Amino acid sequence: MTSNSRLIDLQGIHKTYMVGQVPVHALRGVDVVIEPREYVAIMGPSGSGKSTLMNIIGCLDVPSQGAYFFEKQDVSGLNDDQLAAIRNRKIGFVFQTFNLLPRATAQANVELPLVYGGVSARDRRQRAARVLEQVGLADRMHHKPAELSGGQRQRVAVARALVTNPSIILADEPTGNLDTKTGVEILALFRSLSDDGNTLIVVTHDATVAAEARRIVRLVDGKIAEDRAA
Amino acid sequence: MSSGARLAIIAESLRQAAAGIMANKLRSLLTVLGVVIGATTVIAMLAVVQGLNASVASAIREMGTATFLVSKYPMTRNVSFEEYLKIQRNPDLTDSDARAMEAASPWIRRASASVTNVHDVRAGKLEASNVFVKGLSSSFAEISDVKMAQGRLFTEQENARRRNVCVIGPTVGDRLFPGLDPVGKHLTVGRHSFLIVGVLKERGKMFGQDMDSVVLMPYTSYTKAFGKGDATLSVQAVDTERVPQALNDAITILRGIRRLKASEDNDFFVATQETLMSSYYKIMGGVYAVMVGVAAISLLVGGVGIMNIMLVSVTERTQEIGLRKAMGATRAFLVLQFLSEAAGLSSVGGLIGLLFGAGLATLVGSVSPIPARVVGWSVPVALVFAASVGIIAGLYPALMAARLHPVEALRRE
Repeated sequence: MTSNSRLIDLQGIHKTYMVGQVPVHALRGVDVVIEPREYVAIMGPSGSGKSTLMNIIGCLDVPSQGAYFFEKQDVSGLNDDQLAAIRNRKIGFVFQTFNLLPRATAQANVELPLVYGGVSARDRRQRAARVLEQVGLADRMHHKPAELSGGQRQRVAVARALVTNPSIILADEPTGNLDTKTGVEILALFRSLSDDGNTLIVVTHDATVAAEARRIVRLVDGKIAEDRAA
Repeated sequence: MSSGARLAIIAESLRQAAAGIMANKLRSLLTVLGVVIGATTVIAMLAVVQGLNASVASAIREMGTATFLVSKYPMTRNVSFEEYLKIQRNPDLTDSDARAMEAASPWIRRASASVTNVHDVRAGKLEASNVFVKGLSSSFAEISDVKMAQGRLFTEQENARRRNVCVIGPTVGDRLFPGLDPVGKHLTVGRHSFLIVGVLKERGKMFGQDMDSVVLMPYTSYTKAFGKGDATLSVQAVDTERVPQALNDAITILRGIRRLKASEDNDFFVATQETLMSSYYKIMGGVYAVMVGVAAISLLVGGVGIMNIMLVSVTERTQEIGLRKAMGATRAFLVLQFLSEAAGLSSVGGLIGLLFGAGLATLVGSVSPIPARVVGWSVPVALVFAASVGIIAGLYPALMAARLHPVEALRRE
């Protein structure tokens, strides 16, 4: 493993929250290196710090201590707007609850990151159409979330994550709100994205979801308890 | 932040505002009520004030720039009751004062007296009530542009001989002689009968007063029938530049007639076109101040309403804000989003107020004598004002949204 191929390089990451007067140590010294094209599952029981780790990897939060190199850039000291720019261009998010804008069509939802990226309206439309087709929703482009099934909504969310052509796709319990059959469909979609050369990081407590990944990082009490190939 | 991205966000926010309004019409209406009232007030009151301005200005202009008025009571200010009682004891003005001015001053071309009272006027069984009956020196016609529709004005001779002749306004003619030509017929005012020699051209309404509900007659005929009364003198200088000299002469002559000592103040009042205008504008200044006050209070209330609903909106949509942050929205984008939503909301209020205000002005114009008309520039002023209220009121909620931590915002249900 050469340092040149490091997409994500976390070194001695600590994260401490204050809950009232009480400090909560969510992460206590995490070192992880993730390379391009990897498909990693981050597992752990609730309270293990896996969500906190995902937030830091996704540049939604900054570590209290330690260094985070994203594509060799130290991002642990960036301000809000600089982090927003990295999230916009480099990271695609998929959430458990889909988090689509209810009043916007599937297409408008997918275009959202491109709007913040300053992409022209014409390019936005084309790129949104392309990724929606890729996830099999070409015929649902003008539907609003309420007119779509749970699986379709999550596929819109995946399309939204893909549309900026990000360096990594971060999914937080992506099948948590889906029935088993639909969950399997989404996992198949993730597998094909991985096969296409995307880097995927999935946070889950579900062993079947984790089994799809090629590497499993297990967190316990804010530390890595296990890091192995699946 | 590219301009295309800005436009996209503004457009999306305005759609959001529109969708919010459509989804919750009552809540939105209550939210923008203050702005609606503010805009309605501004539009309607400006319409009324502008209408008044136009009609007052034309009335005063009609007097002519070379003409000034002399009267017993002040015309350009209110008097207290005590002052009124004091002024009441001063001598009335009469036509002979006007004659003396005409005769003695080279700067005065004409001076005429007019006496006015309100009477019920009859012809046979028909009656016109509350008609302005005026006695005029005949030269009044040349000062004030009396225009005849039919017949003629009374003459100097008829004035000198105190003939019972009169000229009527079209309203009086329609009321007393419907469908007939009034010229050559008689009407009675009180116990006195007058021959109608002419009908005036229609002049319309001013301040609720029907300018056509009038009977004009020679000054001498009026005083013979109804007693001398208190006349107002219209004095015309030889030209506009000589108004100061003519004014000075009129005052000197009247003081002479009344034998006022140098130490005594005038026991009469003069008003030029200029002083009439300036006193009118002084009154209007007060009206404007009231209008600005009402508008400011209702817009403040409107602003509070909008701030409130935007705070609710930020709270309700915390998760959406978190999502937008995750998608790369900077603080500036979120401020822009919520500001344009607030501005959109308040602009809708402004637009509704605009329609209400215009409707109100039209209503006032048609059922009341006030000649209200919507002023073109008040429309953009009201809309820009409404939008500004939204932007100011939306600022705090927008900053609140922009400052949310993405992780905490996303976690909120």
